[in-house]
Amino acid sequence: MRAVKFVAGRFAGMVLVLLIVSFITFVVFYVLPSEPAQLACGRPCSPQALELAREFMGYNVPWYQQYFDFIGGIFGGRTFGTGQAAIECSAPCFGYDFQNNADVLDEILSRVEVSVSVAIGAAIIWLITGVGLGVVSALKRGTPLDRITMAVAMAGVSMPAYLAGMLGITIFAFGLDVVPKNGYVPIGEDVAQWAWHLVTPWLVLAFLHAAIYARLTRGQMLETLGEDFIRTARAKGLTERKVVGRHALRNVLLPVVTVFGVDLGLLLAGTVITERIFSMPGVGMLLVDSIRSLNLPILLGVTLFAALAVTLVNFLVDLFYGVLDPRARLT
Amino acid sequence: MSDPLPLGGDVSPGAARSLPAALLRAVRRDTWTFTCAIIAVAIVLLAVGADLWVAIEGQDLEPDLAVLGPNGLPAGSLGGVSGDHWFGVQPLNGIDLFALVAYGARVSLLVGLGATLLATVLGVLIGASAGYIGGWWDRVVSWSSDVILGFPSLIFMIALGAVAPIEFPRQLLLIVVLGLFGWPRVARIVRAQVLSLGKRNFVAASKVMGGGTWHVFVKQLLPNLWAPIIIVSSLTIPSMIGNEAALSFLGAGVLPPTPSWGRTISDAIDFFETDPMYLIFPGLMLFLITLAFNVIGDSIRDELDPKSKGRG
Repeated sequence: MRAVKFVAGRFAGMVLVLLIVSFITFVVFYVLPSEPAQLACGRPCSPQALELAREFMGYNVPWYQQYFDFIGGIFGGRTFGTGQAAIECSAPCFGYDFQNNADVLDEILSRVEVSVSVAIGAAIIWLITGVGLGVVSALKRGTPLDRITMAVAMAGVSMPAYLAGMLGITIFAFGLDVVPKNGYVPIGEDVAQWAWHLVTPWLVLAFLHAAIYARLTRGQMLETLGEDFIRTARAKGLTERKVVGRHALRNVLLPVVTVFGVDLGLLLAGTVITERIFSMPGVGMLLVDSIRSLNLPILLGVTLFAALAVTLVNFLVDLFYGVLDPRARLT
Repeated sequence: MSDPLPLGGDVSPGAARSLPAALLRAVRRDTWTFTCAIIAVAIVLLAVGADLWVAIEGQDLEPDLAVLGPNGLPAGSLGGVSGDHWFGVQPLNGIDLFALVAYGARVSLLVGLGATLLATVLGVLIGASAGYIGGWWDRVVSWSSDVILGFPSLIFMIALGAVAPIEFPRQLLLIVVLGLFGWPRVARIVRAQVLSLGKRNFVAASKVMGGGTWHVFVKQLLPNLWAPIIIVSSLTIPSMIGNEAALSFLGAGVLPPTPSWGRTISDAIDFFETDPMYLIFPGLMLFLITLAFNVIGDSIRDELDPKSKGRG
C-alpha cells in the first residue's frame, strides 16, 4: 500500500511538472514577437494572406486559447485549417511543422533512435567508468594512481564537449583511422556498424561526465569508509571486498543516482552538441537546424519533448531510489 | 556545462575566513593552484585590456583578404601566425584571430561572471528565505529548484536564443537566462546551511535578546553563510562560461558580429583538417579558463571547508 502511494505521489508530481513546464515554455514563446505565420506566408505577403496563414496555423486566437489548443492537441489531436486544405494532426499532436509539411512528433520520433543510442550508450559507459574510477581512487588514496585519475577528471570536467569531440575525431578517425569520421547507421540495419559509428561519440560524451562522477564517488567513498558501520563490518571479519562492494558502495550509489537524475538535462544537451559534431541526424540536429530556419513549431515541440523525456526518466530514477534506499520510501 | 559540485547541502560551514585570505593560502600551498591562478589572471587581463593588446598588435576586427592564400586559407604556416598576427588569421576573410580571441574573452567573462552573480544573489535570497521562513514558501522553493535542476535547461535556452528578437542585447539575455536557471544550486546549499544554523544557540540567543528577523539574518546568519556561498559561486563561474560557449557554438548565443569563443570554435570545425590552428587557439583558451576557475574553486573549497574531501 505504501509502495502504491509512493508511486502515485511521484506520478502526480510528474504530471504537475509537465503542465507547468509546458505552460511556461508556451508563454515565453508567445510573448516573443516572432511571427511564424509571416515566415510561412512567404514574400510578398499581403495582410490578407498573412491573416489567412495565421488563421490556418491557429495563431489568430488569444495566447491562452492557443495553449489550450496545444494541450488539447496532445490528448485529442487537432486539425489545422478547414475544408480541402485541412491538415490532420493526430493525437498526440506536438504541433505541425509548416515549413516541411510534417507532423512535429513524427519528425522527432523518426530521429529519436539516434539520440537515444548516443545518450544511453554514453550514460552506461560514464556511470561504470566514473563510479569504478572513483572507488579505485578512494581506495588508493594519495597514490600516484589516485592523483592521475583526479587530474584527468579535472581536465574532463573543464573540457567543453565540442573540444573533446574534435580531439576524439582527430585521434581516432583522422590519426589512427580506426573509426568512422561521422554519420550514423540504424541499429536495425547493421548492429556492428551501428556500434562502430557510435564508439567515438560515446567515449567523448562519457569522458566529460565520467570525470564528475569519479570525483563525486571518490569523495563519497572516503566519507563512507570513515563511518562506524564500515568499522563494524570490518570488525565482524568480512573481507575487504564485501565491505567495499556491499556495505560502502550501496551508500555511495545514493548521491550518484540523485546527481544522475539531475544530469539528464545535461546528457540531452551533450547529445545535441555531439550530434552536431559527428553529423548525426538525431533530435539535437533537428533542433539546431530549426534555429537557423526559425522553425518555431519544431523548437517548441522539441523543448517540450525533451522536458517530457527528462521528467519521465527522473520519475523512474525516483522509483529506483526507493528500491535502493529503504529510508526514501517512508517519506 | 559540466559542474563538479556535489548536490545537496553538504558544504559545511567552516571557519568564516575571508575570501582573499583563503585564496592566498590556497595559491601558496599548491603549485598547481598557483599556475591556474596565473592563467586566470592572464585571461582576465586579456579580456579587460582587449583594446590595448589588439592596438599593440596593430590589428582590428576588419577583414583583410591580403593575408590569405589562393585557396582562402591563411597564407604562411600555422594558420598565418606571425609578428603581425599573433594567433594567425581566420580563413576566408582574414580577420585577425588574436583580436577575435581577446574580444571573445571579454564576452565570455562578462556573461560568465554576470550570470554567476545573478544566480548567487537570487540563490542566497531565495534559499535563505526558504530556510529561515519555512512552511509553504520552503516547500515551493524546494520543489521548484528540484524541477529547474532536472529541467533540460540548455535545450530551452537554445530554443529561446533562436526566437529572441535581435534588438535585445544578447549578453544581457544570456546573463538573465543563465542566472535564472542557475540559482537552485546556490539556493539548495544556502537553505540547508540556514536550516542547520537556525537551530544553533547563538541564533536563538539573538532572537531572545529581541533581534528582529532582518537583524538576525544579516548580523547572525549571513556572516556564517559566506564560506558556502563563495565555494558554490566560484564553482559556478566555469560552468556558466561553458554554457555561454555551448550556446554560441550552437548558434543560439552571442550573435555576429560580436566575437565569441563558442561561435569561433563552431566556425573552425569546418576548417579543422585544413587549418587546425583556427580551432586550437579559441578552444585552448576556453579549456584553460574553465580549468583554471575549476581548480581555484576547488582549492577555495579545500581551504574554507574543513570537511572537504579534496585532492590528496
